[in-house]
Amino acid sequence: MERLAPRKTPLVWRVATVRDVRTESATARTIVFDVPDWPGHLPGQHVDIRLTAEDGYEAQRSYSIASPPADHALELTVELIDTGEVSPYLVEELQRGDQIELRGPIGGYFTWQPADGGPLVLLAGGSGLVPLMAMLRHRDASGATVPVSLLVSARALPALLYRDELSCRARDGVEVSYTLTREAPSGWTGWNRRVDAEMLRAVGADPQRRPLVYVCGPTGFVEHVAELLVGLGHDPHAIKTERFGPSGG
Amino acid sequence: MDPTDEHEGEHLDGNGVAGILQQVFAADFTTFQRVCQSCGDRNMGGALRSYLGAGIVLRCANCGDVAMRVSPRDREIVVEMRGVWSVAITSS
Ligand SMILES: Cc1cc2nc3c(=O)[nH]c(=O)nc-3n(C[C@H](O)[C@H](O)[C@H](O)COP(=O)(O)OP(=O)(O)OC[C@H]3O[C@@H](n4cnc5c(N)ncnc54)[C@H](O)[C@@H]3O)c2cc1C
Ligand SMILES: [Zn+2]
Repeated sequence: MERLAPRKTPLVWRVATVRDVRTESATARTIVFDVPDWPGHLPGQHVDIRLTAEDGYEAQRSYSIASPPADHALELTVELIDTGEVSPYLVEELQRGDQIELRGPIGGYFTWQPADGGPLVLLAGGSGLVPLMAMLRHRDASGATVPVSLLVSARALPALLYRDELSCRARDGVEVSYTLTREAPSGWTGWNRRVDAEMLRAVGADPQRRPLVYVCGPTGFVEHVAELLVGLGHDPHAIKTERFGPSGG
Repeated sequence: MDPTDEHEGEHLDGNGVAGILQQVFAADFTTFQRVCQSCGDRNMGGALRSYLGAGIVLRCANCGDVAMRVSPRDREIVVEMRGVWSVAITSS
């Protein structure tokens, strides 16, 4: 199978219109956009969003694309950072019909498509699940049978993204495991601690299997997990990482 | 501010500055290949570490040496690249 390269189109700002918004967790929202002349994307790519205030002040941030390439609309899932400049606007204010500037798709490095093969090991911290979700959705939509093992780390149960959808997708070669790092409800059957080497082995991140490993989340999470993986004997070149920014995970 | 004025621990990957650099190169720099002048590590632009200040500094993920410096100066952007870079440019 040939690996597709993203079509060559200049990176321009486009005015996207909010088609719909969906509550995704206690602190996150999915925003569905109609983007005129969207050139298409690969799972794992992101867009830049630009907000401009009336006085001309600009703020720009990156957001991963959650939807698979075959979808007609472009979906982003944004986690609220209370003290943040941009995420509170996206999560709490943006309404259906509103318009916003975005450009993309960006970044061919942190991407996966069926021709890349597997097995896939996807390690997500918090909203780092978003680009990995696009990969998983694309795997299913394209009928690929590559085995996937997904580990999701979040602070607490109400923060988990796409929970219902993931429980539906957890079959036919897809395994989903969770760890809650702060508080777990009684009767919780997943892990209840920070990601460690034992957990990584349990989800199939064993170098002997030669998996393709994708790690995404807050910078602290990615650093920690990448170090553990190298400690397990992985070749750093077989691990792709995407750091979302400050804070631990 | 000097673009090398970095905050340790607040770095992103090459991916995190890919939009800005796509404006500079008119190509997706995350898939450029680079061999490090210091440690010989071969990797892609997306795997470098990026530090954002007034400009951008990219460093080798293996040894930390500077791979690229992007500094805005007056009306131009000065790009310094170190190591051996191979850039695939598809003709259309
Ligand atoms: C390639 C890429 C893809 C991304 N994809 C997504 C995505 O799909 N969904 C998503 O929600 N975010 C994503 N992010 C993060 C996003 O770009 C913003 O950094 C985030 O929304 C915070 O922006 P803000 O303006 O609200 O906060 P800021 O005003 O930038 O920061 C406010 C405060 O929060 C802290 N902070 C910043 N980022 C985080 C963080 N991630 N976690 C905890 N504290 C933080 C800062 O240190 C600061 O003290 C991605 C980042 C990158 C580089
Ligand atoms: Zn090096």
